[in-house]
Amino acid sequence: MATPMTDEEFTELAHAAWPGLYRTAYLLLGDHQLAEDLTQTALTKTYAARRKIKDPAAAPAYARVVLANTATTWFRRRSWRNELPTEILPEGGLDRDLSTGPAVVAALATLPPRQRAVIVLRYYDDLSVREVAHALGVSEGTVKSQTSDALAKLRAVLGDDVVPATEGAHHD
Amino acid sequence: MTERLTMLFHEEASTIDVPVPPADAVLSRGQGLRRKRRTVTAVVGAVAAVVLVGTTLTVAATLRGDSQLEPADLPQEAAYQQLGAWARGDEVHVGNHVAVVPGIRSLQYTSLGALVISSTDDAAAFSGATLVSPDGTTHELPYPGIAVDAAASPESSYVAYADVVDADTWRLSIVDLASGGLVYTSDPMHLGKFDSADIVALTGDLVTFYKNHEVTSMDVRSGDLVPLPDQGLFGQSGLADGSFVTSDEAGWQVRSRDDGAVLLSVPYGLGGRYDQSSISPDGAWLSVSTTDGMRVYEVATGDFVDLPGDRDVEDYGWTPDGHLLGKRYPNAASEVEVCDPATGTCTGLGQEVTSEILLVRAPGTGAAL
Repeated sequence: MATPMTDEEFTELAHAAWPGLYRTAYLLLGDHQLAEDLTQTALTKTYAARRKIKDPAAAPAYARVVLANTATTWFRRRSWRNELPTEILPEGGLDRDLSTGPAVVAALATLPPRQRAVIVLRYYDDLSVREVAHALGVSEGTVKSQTSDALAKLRAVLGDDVVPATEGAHHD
Repeated sequence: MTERLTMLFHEEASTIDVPVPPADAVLSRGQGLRRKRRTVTAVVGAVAAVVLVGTTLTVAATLRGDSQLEPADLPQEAAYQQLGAWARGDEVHVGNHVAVVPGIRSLQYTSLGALVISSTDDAAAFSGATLVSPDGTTHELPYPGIAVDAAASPESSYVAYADVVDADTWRLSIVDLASGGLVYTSDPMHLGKFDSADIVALTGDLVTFYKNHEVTSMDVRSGDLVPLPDQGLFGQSGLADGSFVTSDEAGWQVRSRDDGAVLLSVPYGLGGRYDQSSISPDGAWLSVSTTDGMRVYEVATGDFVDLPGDRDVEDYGWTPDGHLLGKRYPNAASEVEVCDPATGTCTGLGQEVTSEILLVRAPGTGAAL
């Protein structure tokens, strides 16, 4: 049985992992308050489960899976199920000058929540298809089809330069 | 390819304002959650002790030192058919029995019991395959090639899987759990750089798999390829014995496997943005999302029943005989339940819902929650 992290070790982990987890959460949700709630919830669950984490170095990855899983649970709630993708930009918080070109983060807001999650985990967090399937609790086939659909929509918004047309021809 | 997309993601994400991490609040909430879990575990244990009167706890006995057996309310096979299988943590619930298999990754039905794919290594897709019989006994299976995406059917003792030869080559292999023998293995098939080999479903005598992103079916008895007669606008999204599900811009269609004839059409819109469907293994029932739960159609008649409340198609699988088996949302106090698709009557199994529950999903729509 591995020795669980002490509170001090976990606090250190929380500080180190927070920015990355928060950014992923914001990309998934497009809202600062929800992103903070999601990140805090993911770290809280990670703390509660820290006895199961044999290697402290694996804790950030564990927290990321918990974060994605929790986001999926939120998506299933009725308020998310009725959410419509938006044609407008998400709330403020980006310093990027959007007038210089289409913003990827803004384009994400045009996707349904689940497709958004697949894209963020695949292309921002660089998870494999199998890892995304595990994190979201869906099959690899679902990840592939959602990725394909989402890339097609992003291509329409961002253009072929950002999402080459060949990306729609395969899912991996 | 997508390097520019990834680069822009990181560039833009780096400008997102990140608040100070509330580490103290996380610790406080985490400690509270641990206390809550210990309390819940104790309560669930007490409930389980009551619920298990009239049921049996078998293989778990070897790990728990509890070998008490009680008569089943239903014959074991009938219980397996009607109650199906689901998993929570390391527990596999099969009919009236509970077995323990560490590291459960996926569940499938076979005619001999529930096929459990497990791995105790998070980085590995596979470390073992176990058959849990309707009487609760476990049998480790000696097929190292069987992985999470293997396909089985409640009507058959066959299991189909992609047997990986090397990084670029695989074979479709089918074993018969009844005889223990290999009944079919294909010639080696090459995988291109972006190809994948996914076994989608085993329905009746047909095994369906993706090869180079094309859906292909093969008769496991003859080895003949059997194309789907009509995959609709977006391809198949569910497979059953004798039928399959397609979708277009308007809704779902259940089609005959023989000639593609539409057996049932259901329009989108009932579920808002989250239109989803799931067909029962025998093709008799189709469940779809609604904004207030699920609607279950009888394919033959078009009659339906509504299962309102915090229920979602994603959270329900099927039992071998076509009952719905699932859970309400994790954020609602509820339990695992079995629902009769003909009447809409749901019966709780006395097991608290957790976010870790694993179900047998409809063929062709993915593995598990």
